[in-house]
Amino acid sequence: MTELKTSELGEGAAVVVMGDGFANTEAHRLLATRFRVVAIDAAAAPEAVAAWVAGQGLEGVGFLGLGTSATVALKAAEASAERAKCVVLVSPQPLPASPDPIAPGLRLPKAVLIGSRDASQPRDAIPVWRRALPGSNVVLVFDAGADVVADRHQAFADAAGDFLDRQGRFAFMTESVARLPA
Amino acid sequence: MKTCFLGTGGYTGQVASRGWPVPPEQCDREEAAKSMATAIRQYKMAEDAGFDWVSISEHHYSPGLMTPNPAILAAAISQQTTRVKIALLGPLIPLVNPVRTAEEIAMLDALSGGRIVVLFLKGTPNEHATYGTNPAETREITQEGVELILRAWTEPQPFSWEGRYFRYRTVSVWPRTVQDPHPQVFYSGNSEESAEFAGRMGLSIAIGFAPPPKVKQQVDIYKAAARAAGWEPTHDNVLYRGRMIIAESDSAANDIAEGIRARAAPTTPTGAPAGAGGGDPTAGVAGVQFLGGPDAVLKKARELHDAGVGILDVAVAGGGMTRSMELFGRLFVPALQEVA
Repeated sequence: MTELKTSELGEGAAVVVMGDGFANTEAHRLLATRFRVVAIDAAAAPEAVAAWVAGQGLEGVGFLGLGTSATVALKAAEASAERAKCVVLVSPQPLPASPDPIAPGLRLPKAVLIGSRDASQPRDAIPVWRRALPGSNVVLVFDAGADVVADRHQAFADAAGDFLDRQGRFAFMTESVARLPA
Repeated sequence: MKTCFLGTGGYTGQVASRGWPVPPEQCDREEAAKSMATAIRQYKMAEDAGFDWVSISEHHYSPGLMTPNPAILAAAISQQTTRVKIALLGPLIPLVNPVRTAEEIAMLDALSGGRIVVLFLKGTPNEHATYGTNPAETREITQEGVELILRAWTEPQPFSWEGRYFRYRTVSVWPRTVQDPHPQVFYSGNSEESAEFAGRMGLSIAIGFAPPPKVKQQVDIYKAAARAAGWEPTHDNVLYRGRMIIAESDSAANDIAEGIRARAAPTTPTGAPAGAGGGDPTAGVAGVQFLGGPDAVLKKARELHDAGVGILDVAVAGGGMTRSMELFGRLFVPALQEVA
């Protein structure tokens, strides 16, 4: 089994997070209230991540890429297609260089979270990402800048968590809106 | 300068009690229908009198201004007028679903052929009591709501919104607004903080009832924030709301004011939430910003123009609405159009 530097919190469906500085943060802990969240060293190669997932025998894995690790997450999900459930990119970098899809072979539900005040994203970030990842859900995180996880960790955990849980059906709320049920 | 007729959409019947809220049992059902017909007729008269815009506010639980959803009255007006801009001044963002509001205004813009203008407000304390809104959060709710609405009008692809106060997992507004990229959007310019927000966001501002020096102060704050954001507002970005009593002469206007003063009664009895009242916006004369014959009124308009104002949103009174509007159109509109 490939040795990777990992940090794990929580129980339940597996979520593999690639990106710097995520391990043991408040965002990690919040997401771990719903999932088994494994933070993996940002330097890991996609093939190594895929091999680690296979070696752990994980199924139905959510792949989550932060910042410049977005590409790694996409490739790791592609390499783990049989074991992957969905992909979530958060404040992804770099921006797609061409109007063509960046992962045409990846037929999984995809979501992209970007900050409403992220100056590194183009003004037309939403159509850019929907062209790059056809069928993806683009989530604007209000009042977050170029690091959604750091700027609004609760909003990150809520949106990413709901998508990891229910993918395209995350548009529907599951909690009751009854204020005083009894 | 442009002129805007501030209509009341008020109840035309008699109401025994004042204050807020007013018990619905005091609303005669047939009189309610008659009141709406009267309001629409007044807006049509305003267009005929030469006003450039007409405006509708949002108020609740009151006979004075029966427009809990200004978009509904605006829709009716859009079908009875052809020229005037229709200004929603404004939807109260803490009380509404912002995406729904974006949809309704986009509909209105299509219905009116692109004549919609909108001012998004946070509302007064009595309005916050309408649906139990926490007054401490209304500024932040309003600012987030405005940003969401602007995105909803301008994003070409569906998106989700993960806000502090609003969460929508699918936003994809149809129809698009006729005006590209969207109708002119105003924001309150009454406080330093709100004027700065408007400048930073590229919005226009509306200032109510303040004297010209205060107006200039707010406009300066607004323009400084706009310049810092890389744009330069013009007079067309600044609206002023005031009450007006206009007549052929100063003495005639003063006679009208005396008559109104004699009839006026307190509009906010003890115990009512602050800001409550509504009613005829020209009730009482202490708060009348334009009073006199054409020269006096024009002088005040020039002072406001010098302070940066380009649009006057006025509630006119004196000798009945028909007479007031006829006077306004005959005495004031031609002169005002020369102020620039």
